[in-house]
Amino acid sequence: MTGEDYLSFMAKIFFSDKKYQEECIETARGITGLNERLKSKIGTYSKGMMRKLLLARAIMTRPKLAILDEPTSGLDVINALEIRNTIREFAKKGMSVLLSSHNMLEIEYLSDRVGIIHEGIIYDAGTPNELKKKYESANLEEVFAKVAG
Amino acid sequence: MRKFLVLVKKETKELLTPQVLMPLIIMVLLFVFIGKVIGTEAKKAEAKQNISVIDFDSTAISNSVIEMLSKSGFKVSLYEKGDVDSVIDETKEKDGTIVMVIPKGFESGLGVSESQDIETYAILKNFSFLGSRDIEAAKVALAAINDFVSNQLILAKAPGVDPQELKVPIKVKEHVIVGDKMAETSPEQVMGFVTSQTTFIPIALFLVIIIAAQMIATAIATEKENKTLETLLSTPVSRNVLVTAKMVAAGLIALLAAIFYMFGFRYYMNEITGGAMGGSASALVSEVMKDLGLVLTPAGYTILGLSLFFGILCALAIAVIIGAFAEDVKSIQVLITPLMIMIMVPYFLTMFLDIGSLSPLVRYVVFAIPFTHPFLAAPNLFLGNYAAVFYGILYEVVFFSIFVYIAGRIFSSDRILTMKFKLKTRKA
Repeated sequence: MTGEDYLSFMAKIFFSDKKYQEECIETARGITGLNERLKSKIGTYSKGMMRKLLLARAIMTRPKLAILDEPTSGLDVINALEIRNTIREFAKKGMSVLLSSHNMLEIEYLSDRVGIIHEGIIYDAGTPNELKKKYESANLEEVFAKVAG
Repeated sequence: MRKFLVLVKKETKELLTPQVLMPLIIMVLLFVFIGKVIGTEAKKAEAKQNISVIDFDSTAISNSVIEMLSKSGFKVSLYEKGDVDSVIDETKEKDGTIVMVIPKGFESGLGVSESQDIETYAILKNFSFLGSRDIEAAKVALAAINDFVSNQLILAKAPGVDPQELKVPIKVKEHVIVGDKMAETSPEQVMGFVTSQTTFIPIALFLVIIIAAQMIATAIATEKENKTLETLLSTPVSRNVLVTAKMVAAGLIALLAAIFYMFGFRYYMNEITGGAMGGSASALVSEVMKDLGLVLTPAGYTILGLSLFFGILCALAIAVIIGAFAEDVKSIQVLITPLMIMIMVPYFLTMFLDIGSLSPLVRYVVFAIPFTHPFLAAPNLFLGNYAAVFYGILYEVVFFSIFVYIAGRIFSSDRILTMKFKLKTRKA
């Protein structure tokens, strides 16, 4: 299955109207930025390309809430940055994002509100600035270390 | 329904790859090619065969023997003198396969009721089925010669008597009873007819089940490996619809594979048997089989189809669970082995044994395998055991429902993403 086929299949699952399907696919094309490579088989994609395709599939329908689990783990700097920018762009347009990550700097960069979870327990929550102030830390990584440590 | 069709289309497209289609096409082409080659060779073998006859007797009876051989389709090279070895060498050069020696005193010996020896030398060039045809033909010719000579002797001793009356004083009138129906025919003929009608069914079923199970298990394992299963599971489609769509797609491709296979196999069998397979029994035989109720009615075919259909569904339900266990495509082959054994056991047992004659424990174990029932359906329908077929289908439905429920439960929970069976690899 090609990337294009995959997006088209998913659009058909979500919408019965062809117009909506096309809009959806067009949005996804833009998110992936894969251009001609969308015509290649998914099996030939790199990890970064695959992650972009899956992110596009998750947000192409413009859901009210997108739940993203470590969207940039294992990616190189450029791919990770592109994915973060896409998430920010869609959040600005009104989409809520619930994102989980071990990368505290990424969390700080992306999030309006942060919950510190350790071994299944939410220890604290607030904006990045509130948490940094409360735990007298320079960044969220130090906050986490103090809360969970 | 729309989403279901979209899913079936996607799954079918995923499964219908050149990697799946190519072996099917190659298989049909191979069957056609081998069938053609064998068919051509068989026709060649039916042409007049060379036989060398050394007639040391040169009498009226020995001449009659040679005449009979000519009438039996042999091209006779006659020698009236010379030694056997040199005639064998010459026959080899002529590509002949049989040398026959009629001894001196053949006619006079028969005249005083002494049995006579005709020596034959078969030149074997290969051990194939076709290679032995000429030798079989020579044997048939010798039997005809024996019949002819004995008739001559009987007529000489007892003129006016029909030799056949003396040779076969007791005639057997064979009858066959199937259920409550009886017909005048031989059991061998009935067995041959039923076998020719039902041989294809277990082969096709065996193939369909194996192919479908492998496909669906591989499809699920591939989606797990590519991580596309998570996003598919997050779509607004019920998990049961997802599972069913995968099963339907695999079933469709499996049926296609079976049609390809059966087309090729039927062509192959027609070529090598000269159209003896698949309902080409003579009108007389057909009439007798009808009298015995050994012809599947449209209702019979429908019931058989139902049994086959639920057998396939049972395999697919098991394969879905196998696919859920697999961490990657490589582990599918190992995981699917128990399912293949489950199919092979009833396949071979129903082919060679009467399941009813097995010990109760073994019999119940075999009946517990859902695939036993479609294998037994055709013979049971021929014998009029409709109840056995219906109970078999009922068991298949129950088995399928239980396994679909289990598959649905697995797909409805996170276990579909966490269950795994990984092949242990030895590290150096």
